[in-house]
Amino acid sequence: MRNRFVIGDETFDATLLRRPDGFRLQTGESEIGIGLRDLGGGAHLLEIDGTPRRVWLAVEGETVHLHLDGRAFAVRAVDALEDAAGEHGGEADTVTAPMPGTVIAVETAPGRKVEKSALLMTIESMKMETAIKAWRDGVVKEVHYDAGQTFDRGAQLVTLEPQEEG
Amino acid sequence: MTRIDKVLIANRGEIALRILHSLREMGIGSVAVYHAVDADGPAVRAADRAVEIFGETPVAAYLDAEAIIDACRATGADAVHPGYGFLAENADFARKLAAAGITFIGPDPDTIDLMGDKLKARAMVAAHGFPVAPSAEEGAEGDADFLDRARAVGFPLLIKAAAGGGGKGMRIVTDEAALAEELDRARGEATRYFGDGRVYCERYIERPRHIEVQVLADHHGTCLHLWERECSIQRRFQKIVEESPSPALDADARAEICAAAVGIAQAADYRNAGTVEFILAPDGSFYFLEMNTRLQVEHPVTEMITGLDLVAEQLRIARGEKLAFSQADVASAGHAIECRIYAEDADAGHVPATGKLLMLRPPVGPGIRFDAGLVEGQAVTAAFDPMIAKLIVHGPSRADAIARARRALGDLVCLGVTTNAAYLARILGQPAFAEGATHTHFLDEQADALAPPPLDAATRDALLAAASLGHGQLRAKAEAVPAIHAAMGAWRN
Repeated sequence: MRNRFVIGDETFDATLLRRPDGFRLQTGESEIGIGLRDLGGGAHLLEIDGTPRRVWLAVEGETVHLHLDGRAFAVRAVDALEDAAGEHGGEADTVTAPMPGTVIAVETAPGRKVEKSALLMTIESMKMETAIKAWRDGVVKEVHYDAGQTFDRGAQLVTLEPQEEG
Repeated sequence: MTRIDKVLIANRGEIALRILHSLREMGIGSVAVYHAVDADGPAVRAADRAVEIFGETPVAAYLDAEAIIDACRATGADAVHPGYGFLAENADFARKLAAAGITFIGPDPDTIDLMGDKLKARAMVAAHGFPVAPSAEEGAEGDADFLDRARAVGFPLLIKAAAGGGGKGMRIVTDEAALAEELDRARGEATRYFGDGRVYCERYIERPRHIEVQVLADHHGTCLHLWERECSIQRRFQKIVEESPSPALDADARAEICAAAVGIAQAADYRNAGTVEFILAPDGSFYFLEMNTRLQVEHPVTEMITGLDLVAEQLRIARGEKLAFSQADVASAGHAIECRIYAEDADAGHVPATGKLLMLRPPVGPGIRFDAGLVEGQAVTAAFDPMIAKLIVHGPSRADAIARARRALGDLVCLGVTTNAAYLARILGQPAFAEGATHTHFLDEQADALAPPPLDAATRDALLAAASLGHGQLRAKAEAVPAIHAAMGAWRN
């Protein structure tokens, strides 16, 4: 089984093979004998070519969270087809939250015409205020949060109407 | 003497649980208050009673003084411990409690007011002959020459909120041209956060250390210090590593700064536990920064070196008891370090992280304390401060404590929510940290050395192997391949 994984911002392919004497993993560069034994309570013994290492593991959807050698990692299994499709769908007309926070004030409304750099919203994250300004001239399509509401990282904050061609 | 039979904890997270532990040891009843998002929190389960409070936002619920006083009445709580943050330094809340016949576990409201107004506090401290940094204060509205006086302080300078604290509304200005604009922004922030737009400018000391002194004062005229803590390791003016003793102070300097703190607390007619914060310049001079009229996040550092329970001392003082020890009895044994565990991506600009805590395995062993406020399965949201736990270690020497903290940070398993644990371990692993060469811009200065190591091939293979076999569906797919094909696999393709 060939699987695709994302660790941080890097993508890796790894093929998991079952052999009579156990599992093997083929990556671009190497093939290794691997084993994983559940020790209970999230602790696992990971064997790589016979060498044991202790890992802690928790699975959430397609993501495997791992604690290895004092560091935590999130390894996300992705469908190779979905991965290819994802490269196209852009959302250039929405500003998303760079970090979680709270909306302090909304300075615009749907339907309003704005010029580039006009103040759209003031947010507060990490005890600092940030002004969300229009990134181009346009018309506000949607304001996704009201003042006082909290949002997560990556949340859509303000959407502008699509830009007219030409 | 004031009777305290049942204490309502007007807080959440790790500090609510911390206070609860002392109450239980002292045989005092406990009441927790909680917003719905914290309903699964450990303090709610551990308290004798728990009362739900409501608010437009979760934070607003914990700031609702009336609701908390109502909860005291409903449960028969005769005292409130405010923890830190929220209502801990709200003099009106303390007054309302007093009016309702409920004991506020903290200083007198007038002291909170005095020390909460950074301008008045500085003036009081200076008037008593203790050192404050050169500064310019804004007078009444339309103070035309404030800008000139601010410029005269010199650059770089710090803009601070008169009613501020904890780094909120604080800005460093290096460029004179940006001063007016930064002042406007700081006023806006100060108005928003503290309902008080007054700001002041203070000379920024280059390579400063943050040194603070824990004090305890009873109602019988005794005021003692519990030694200092150095809290120079900060990101965005927020402390993330604290230790005691400070590696920067010799015995004489230590005695001098601790004595100054006691002097300032006495001048303020201080009661209960408090912290006097100072800036220590590279030449050894120090300046009063502010006084925090509450229990601090980093109080366990002091508990580790003194063996005292600060929450228990706060309760005894609030009951009107005399401190049961003298200055000479307050030991400073060994070395303690606290690391604040934040739900944030330290490698991406300390951006707060959210998610569900899937697994939490605190480190254990001699000299290790782990104060956490959440349990497995709980969600970490953007609603509150991202600090989720504190690791505190104690060792015979500073080097021992550093080694122990590094080991414990590596042993801390926290999955599902990104934390700064590995970043903290890298900080403690820096040669400059080991030498004690710390200052408040240490993290910026050492940014390159603190970057995460690249993913090496062996680690990558281990992660891919563990993920391939650890994810049930992936493993099941591989196992579904009939054994005969599996056996052929090697030469089939």
